[in-house]
Amino acid sequence: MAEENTITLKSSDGKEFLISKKAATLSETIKAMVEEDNSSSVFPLTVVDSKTLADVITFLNKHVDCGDDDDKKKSCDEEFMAGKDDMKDLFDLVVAANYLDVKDLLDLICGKIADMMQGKSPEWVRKTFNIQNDFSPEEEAKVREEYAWAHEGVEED
Amino acid sequence: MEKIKICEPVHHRNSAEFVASIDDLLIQILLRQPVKSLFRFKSVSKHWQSLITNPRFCYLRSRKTNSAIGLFFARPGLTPACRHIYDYVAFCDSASTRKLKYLVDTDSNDVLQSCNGLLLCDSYSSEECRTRFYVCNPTTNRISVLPELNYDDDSQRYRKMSLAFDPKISPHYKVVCVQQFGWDKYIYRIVIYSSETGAWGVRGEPFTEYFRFGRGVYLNGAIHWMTPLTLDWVTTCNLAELGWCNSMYFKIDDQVLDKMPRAPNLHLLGWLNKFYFGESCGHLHFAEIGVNKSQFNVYEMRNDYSEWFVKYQVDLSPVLAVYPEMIRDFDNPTMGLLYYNFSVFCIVRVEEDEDESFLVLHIPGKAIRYNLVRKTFKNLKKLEGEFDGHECHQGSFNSYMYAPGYQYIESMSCV
Repeated sequence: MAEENTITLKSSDGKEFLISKKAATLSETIKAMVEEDNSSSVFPLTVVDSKTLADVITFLNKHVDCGDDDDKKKSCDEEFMAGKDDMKDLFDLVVAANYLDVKDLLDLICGKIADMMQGKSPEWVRKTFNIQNDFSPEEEAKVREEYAWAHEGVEED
Repeated sequence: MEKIKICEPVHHRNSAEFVASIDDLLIQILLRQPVKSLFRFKSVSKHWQSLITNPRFCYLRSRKTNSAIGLFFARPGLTPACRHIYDYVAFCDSASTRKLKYLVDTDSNDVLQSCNGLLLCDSYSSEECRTRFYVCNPTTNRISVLPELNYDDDSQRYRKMSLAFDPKISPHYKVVCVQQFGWDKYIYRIVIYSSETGAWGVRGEPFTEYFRFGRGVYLNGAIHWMTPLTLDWVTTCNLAELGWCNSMYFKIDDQVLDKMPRAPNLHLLGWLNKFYFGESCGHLHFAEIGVNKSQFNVYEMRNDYSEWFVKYQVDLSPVLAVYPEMIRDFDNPTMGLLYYNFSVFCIVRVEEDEDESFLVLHIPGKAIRYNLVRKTFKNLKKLEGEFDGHECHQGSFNSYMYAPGYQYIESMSCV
């Protein structure tokens, strides 16, 4: 019986995680995989590393326990997010949440990334997101000048 | 399954770059930014600029709740030169100040109405001898001048403009003009401008209504007006016969003009009383404020227009104790009354926390935020160029006490 209710998720670096089917299928992607192939019990997730997958699984298990209780979910989410303020980890998580199609997790991480960006300069954003500045100096000066008030009170990098 | 394949990250790139390359993800993150950050992030790259400027993005952003964060008001002053300068009061201490952009080539600019982030303004040019109307987004400082309204006849007749805009429903706005039709004072017709078509159009037939359409208030697809009875009316009309009312609304899409229940206690309005009529976060408010009373009720209209009910009871006695400059002896000794020197700039509902709803008072030299539930208050701003307290003279008294406040709601909407 136990085997029917659990599946194994395999990370990109080959680590295996046992998880209840109920928790795993909160991910629309895994749900589709399981529905398509219900004879397998091991599902490789070639794009999620073990560190990130462990986090995702923690989140899924917590949310299954919460059921439909929104207050409980909220406090679970706060607990889950505590100490998560490394941008690289957050990006890894948001990419995983997007790939695995877990809406609650995606919302949570997007919100956290947005919080981290508040009060930051465009330079910080470029560096953090690895974005090339493709404005010419004149163009950039023009855009900045147009919304000069929005550049007031920005944190130093 | 297709979606999954598209979203699968390419291994050799890092996740930050991957996030930056997926517009859906970026949009999810950007939608959670305050407007100020969004304008700042326009200078990150051309791609970010185009994402943030995209009308679809503006629409998605506007669907989030947006409470007013400040207000504009016409700076009081006795000389004509400073009569049309607007000052800004932020509702929070930390918030940055804003400046209104005017049409530059005209003599005067006036704000007529604030509506979900946009302002309807008019401007008079003595050189051209005409008034132009424009819609302004005070967040982006973009202005759009409305095309001239073509009249069949004399253009100098009575006309009142109101702005109808709700970004949660449509990115376009409408301007409703009620104009006198023909020579009878109470025959009107309604002409509507649509920013979608960029043109004015006459709606329906002319009609007779014993009502003066003052400054309109937009809510739920309708413009609302409240006009107190004036002496002029009492002497010229048999009110009961005419079916007099003091408030009306016009449903724009249905083109239906209807009466609202009579506002409670709205007496014959002369020089003694003033009233507040406005909207905040989907609620229509009304308050009658007697200049010799320190207490008043704030009424709210039910959504089905069935009645006004008392939403808040305001007692300004504690405020008067702290700011005695609000009390003045009126010059006429025979009256023997105390008069209070204040007005209501605006009433603001806070959706996330109803207990935080407040009103902003204008007292000599200051704007005061008064919490409607907890009855606490604090000074928001010292108003420049205003006589405060002790040096307040008779002459400066009436000059500003009726200046309305126009709520400032951050908006990315195009005009």
